[in-house]
Amino acid sequence: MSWSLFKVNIKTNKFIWIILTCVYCFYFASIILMFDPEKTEALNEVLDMFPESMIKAMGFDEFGTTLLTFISSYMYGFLIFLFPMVLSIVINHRIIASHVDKGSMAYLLSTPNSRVKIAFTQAVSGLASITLFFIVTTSFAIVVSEVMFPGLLETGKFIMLNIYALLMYYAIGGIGFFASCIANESKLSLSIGVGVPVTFLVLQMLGNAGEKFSWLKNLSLYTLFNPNKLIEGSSFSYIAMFIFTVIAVILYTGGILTFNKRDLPI
Amino acid sequence: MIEVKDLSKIYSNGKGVFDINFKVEKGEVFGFLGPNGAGKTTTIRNLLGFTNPTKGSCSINGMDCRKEASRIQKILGYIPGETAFFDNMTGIQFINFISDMRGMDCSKRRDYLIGFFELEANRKIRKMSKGMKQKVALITAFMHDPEVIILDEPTSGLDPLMQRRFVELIKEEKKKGKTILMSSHIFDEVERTCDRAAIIREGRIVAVENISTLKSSIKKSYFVTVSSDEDIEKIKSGGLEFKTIDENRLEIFISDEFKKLFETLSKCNVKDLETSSKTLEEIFIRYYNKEEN
Repeated sequence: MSWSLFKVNIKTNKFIWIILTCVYCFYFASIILMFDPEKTEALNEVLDMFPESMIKAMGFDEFGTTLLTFISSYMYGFLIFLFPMVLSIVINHRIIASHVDKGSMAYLLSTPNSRVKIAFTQAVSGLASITLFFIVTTSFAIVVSEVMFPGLLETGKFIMLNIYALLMYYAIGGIGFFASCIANESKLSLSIGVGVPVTFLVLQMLGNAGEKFSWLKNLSLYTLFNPNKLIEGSSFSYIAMFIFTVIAVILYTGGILTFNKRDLPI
Repeated sequence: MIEVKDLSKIYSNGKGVFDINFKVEKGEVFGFLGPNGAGKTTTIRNLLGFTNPTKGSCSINGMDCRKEASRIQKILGYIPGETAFFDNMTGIQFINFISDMRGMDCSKRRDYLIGFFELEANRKIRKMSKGMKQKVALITAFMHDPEVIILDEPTSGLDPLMQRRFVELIKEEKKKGKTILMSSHIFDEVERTCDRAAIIREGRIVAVENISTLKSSIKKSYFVTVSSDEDIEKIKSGGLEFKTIDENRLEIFISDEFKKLFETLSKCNVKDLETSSKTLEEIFIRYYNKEEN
């Protein structure tokens, strides 16, 4: 682990991190403010006015009746696949592949740090950025909920829900990091790093849209992320968390080892 | 000491370097000459441990370049052929960052070198010209006072004044006993700094020679403009090798027959005399011609 490099990563990526975190917090705040314990029924009626398949594709199944289920259906159906994903894709691409493509990796490797150490530092940087994203946004949502609706949010379950999402992002980040480690050019790193997560998302949306395509969902990694199952307390979500972790460990380790062995065009 | 032994690196398109062998002794400045695309950078990539050799190996001070790359970096200074940095940093931020990554305090020599190359270190690298970026690269390669220095086309982008400074720096380092490998496609630069040079062409080493041997094997050429046909006749009868360029303009080739050249020219009304700036390709052609003869 090289702290000098870690600090430089923070500097390079703070701008996009701050923007995405702020926008996501803004969404959190507006959704929490929209919650009205008296009127959840009314909102569900509004939903009924839209075609069912469209609503389902966006992941807005039902707004639920508690603050937790309300937030969960709004934020963790679709938005969860947007902002953190952009963050994860951009940062994982930047930390390795972009340096290899530009050639600046030559400078990092002409210091007395092994490739494993450099790649490990970059992996930690990527993981730290997404972890901090979830810590900040989760804490922010808890604070807003407590101010607006004291005692109404089931905080424990809400934190668990975010750990669930974070572990999913470790797996998604693993895809981007692995792509970043094996690519000679930005093109390849981005087409895998963007392509795979977006394909999963499209499969998930198509699968949700109608019975006919529901089998498509099984091809998407995101199907393992089911907030309702977690809130119900089903073991499905714990198995899913375990699978996300295993995928992340395999992809990050694989990425570092591949980077250590391969030819670098720098 | 740098040693390259039977090194081959063959890329999927069939290009690369084949059976490269050479040794750079401690305290020696060694030139690595070849036109663009000849395999200079490929060889250097192997020395830095960036690529896995298809065959053979290379070592620096007895350490394997691929397996012990990070140990070697402690005593190595390197300038990549392409200058790509962390664009958002200023020159000084980047230099300090690399110094942090090395875990060494290089501030004294860093400041000396910034002054020596007259670098405006507070400018953003993104806004620097190619020459300024090259200065940043030079400073990061020399600031930790490395024992072994590998430079891939170190003067590209530098103006003539800074090229001279660079030559001064190399001579200084040589006095300190540093081992230096320097690739270039400019013969003059190698001639001014190196003791020996390897010539590489299409991925193969064609010669490893002392610079003086190389130089004497290459004919020098001078463009001479004279005023009349009479003068041309005088030169023709002077026994010098030449080629007619224009009516009153000749190109004369010599190895070391300066006396003969001046004697002949002193009889003529010379209006202009200039040396040709030799490109490496020309040198190669002449060198090969000589080999074939």
